[in-house]
Amino acid sequence: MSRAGLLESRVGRAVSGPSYRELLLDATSRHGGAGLGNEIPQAALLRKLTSWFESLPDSSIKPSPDRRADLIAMHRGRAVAVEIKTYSRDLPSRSLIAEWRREADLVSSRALFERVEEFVGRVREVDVTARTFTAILGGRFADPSDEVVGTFDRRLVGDLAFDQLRPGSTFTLVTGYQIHLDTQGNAESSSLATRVIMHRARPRSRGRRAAAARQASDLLED
Amino acid sequence: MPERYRVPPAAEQLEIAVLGRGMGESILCHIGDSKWVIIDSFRSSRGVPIASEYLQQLDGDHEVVAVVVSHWDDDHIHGMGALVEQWMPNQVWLPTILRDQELVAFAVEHDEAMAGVAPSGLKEFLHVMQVTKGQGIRRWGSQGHSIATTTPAVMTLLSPTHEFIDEALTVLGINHAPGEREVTSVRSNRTSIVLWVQMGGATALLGADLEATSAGWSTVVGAHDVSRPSAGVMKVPHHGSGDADDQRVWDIMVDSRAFNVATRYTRLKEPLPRPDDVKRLLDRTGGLFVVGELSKRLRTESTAYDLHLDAASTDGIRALGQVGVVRLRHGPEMEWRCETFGAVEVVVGCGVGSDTAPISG
Repeated sequence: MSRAGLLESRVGRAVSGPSYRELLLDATSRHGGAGLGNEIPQAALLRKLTSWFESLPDSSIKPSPDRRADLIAMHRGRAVAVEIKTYSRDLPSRSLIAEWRREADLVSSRALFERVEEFVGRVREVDVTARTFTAILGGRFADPSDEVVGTFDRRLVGDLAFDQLRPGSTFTLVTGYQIHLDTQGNAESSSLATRVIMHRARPRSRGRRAAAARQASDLLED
Repeated sequence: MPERYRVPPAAEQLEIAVLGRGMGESILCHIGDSKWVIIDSFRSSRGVPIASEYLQQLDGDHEVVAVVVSHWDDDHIHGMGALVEQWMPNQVWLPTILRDQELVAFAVEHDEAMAGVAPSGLKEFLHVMQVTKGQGIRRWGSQGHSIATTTPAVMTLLSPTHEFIDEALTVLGINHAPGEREVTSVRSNRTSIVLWVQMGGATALLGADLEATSAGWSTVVGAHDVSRPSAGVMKVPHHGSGDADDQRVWDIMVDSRAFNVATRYTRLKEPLPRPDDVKRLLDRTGGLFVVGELSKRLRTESTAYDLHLDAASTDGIRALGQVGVVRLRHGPEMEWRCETFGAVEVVVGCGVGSDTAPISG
C-alpha cells in the first residue's frame, strides 16, 4: 500500500463497510466470547479485515499478500478507516503524530493513545485463582441482546484494581492504537492496545437523596 | 416459521411455552379460552418483547390476563414495561420484597447514576412501576398468593417465602452507593416468584431463578402439599445451576417422567447449564431440554421424548435466530405433548431406555 493511500484511508475518507465494532463483535462471537481485547480476536479481526479489503473495488488499499500485515482500525466520528501497518519505515510522520496528539484522548509523555472504540463493561465473575475476570461488554445505551462476554487477564487493569474488582464493577474499555515515541517525538513502535478505566460513584447530595425518596414514594402509590 | 408454530392451543388446553435466547427467559402459560399469563420477558432481535411476538404469531385473538415479574434480573425483565403497556393485563405481579420505598429510592438514584452506562434490570423495574402506576393492577406476591385466572387453571405462588422476606433487604446486596457499581442482583434470585400451575390433571412447576437456600427451595419443599400430583413439567430453576439444585424438589414435587426445561445463560465464562450441571440433572431426570443459543458441547438426541423434530425445526432455527421454544400442551383427552422450535437441545442421559418412557399422548 502506498504511503499516500495509507494516509488517505486513515485520515480523511469515509470507508464504507462494517464498523470496527461490528467486526470486533463478529470476531469475538466466532471465538466463543473468550479473550476479547487480547490476541485471539486481533488475529480474527485481521483475517476479517483482510477479507473485507479484498472485497473492496478500490485495489489501491488492498494489502500485498506477501506482506506481513498488522491491523489498526481508526475511528473518525462515524467513519471507520482502516490502516495496515507493515514496516517501521511506514510509521507516521511527525506532522501526523502532531495531528494525532491534538486529537488523542489519552496522552502520556512517551505514548499517544489513539482511541478507536470503547465499550462499557460490567464484571460478572472474578477468578482469583486464574487471575482473570469475566465481563459483559456493550456500547452505551446498548440493547442487552447486542452484548458480548469477554474474559480478561488481570494485567488489563493492574494488580491493585484487580483486587478491587467485584461482580457488578463497571468500567470503560478503550481499544486503540498506541504509538510509542522517542525523545524527539518520533514514533518508535505502534501496537493495538487496550485500557480499562474503572468507574467510580458520584457523591450523593442530601437533596438528591430526598428527591429520590419522593419519587419512590410517588411510584409506589397505586 | 413452520405452519404448526402458528397453531394455537385448544380452548381447554393448558400450554406452557418456555422461550430462551442465551440471555433471556420468558414463559407463556395458556390457561384456557385464549387467556394467557406471561412470566418474565426478553426482547427479540427486532426489539419486541418475545412473548408478544409469540402471541402475534399464533392464529386467533389472545388475551393476557396477568404478567409476572419473577425478579428483576436483566435476563428476566427486559421488555417487561413494553409488554405491560401493550397488553395492559389486569394483574402485574412483582415480588413483594420490591415494595420497599428505600429500595425503590435506591433504584431511582442508581438509574440516574448509571445513566447510559449499562442496560439495567432496575431501569426496567422502574419502567414497570411507571406504566402500572395508578392502574390498580399491581400485585405484590409472596408464598401462598394466587393469580386470579377466571378459568379452571390455578396458579399459586410458592415463593418468595416469608422466611426470606424478613431478611430480604440485607441480602439483596444493595449496600453500596448508587452508581458505584452495577446492581448485579446476584442475590435477587432469592426474591424469585416460583409458580405452581394446575389445570385439570396437568401440573407444572416454574422455578424461576430460586436458589437452594434455607429460605428458598428448602422452605418451598417443606411447605409443599404432598397430596398434590407431582409436576409433569419443570422449568428448571436458575438455568440448571447447582446453586438452585435441591434433590428433594425432584423427589417430592416433580414427576420422574416430567418434561424438564432449562434456559441457557451465556453471560458467564462458562455458560449455564455447565456440563456438570447437565450431568447432575440427567442423573435426576433422564432427559432435559436446554433452550436458547445452541451449544456444541451437549449431546443432542430425540429418543427419550415424544417430539416432533422434523425438517421444520430447521426453518424454526432460521426464523428464530438464537431463540429456542419448547412448547408443551395438555388437554382433557391428551397427556403432555411437546414440540420444539429453533435453538433447543434435547439432552438425554446415557442408558435412558424404556423404563424412563416419556409422558406422551
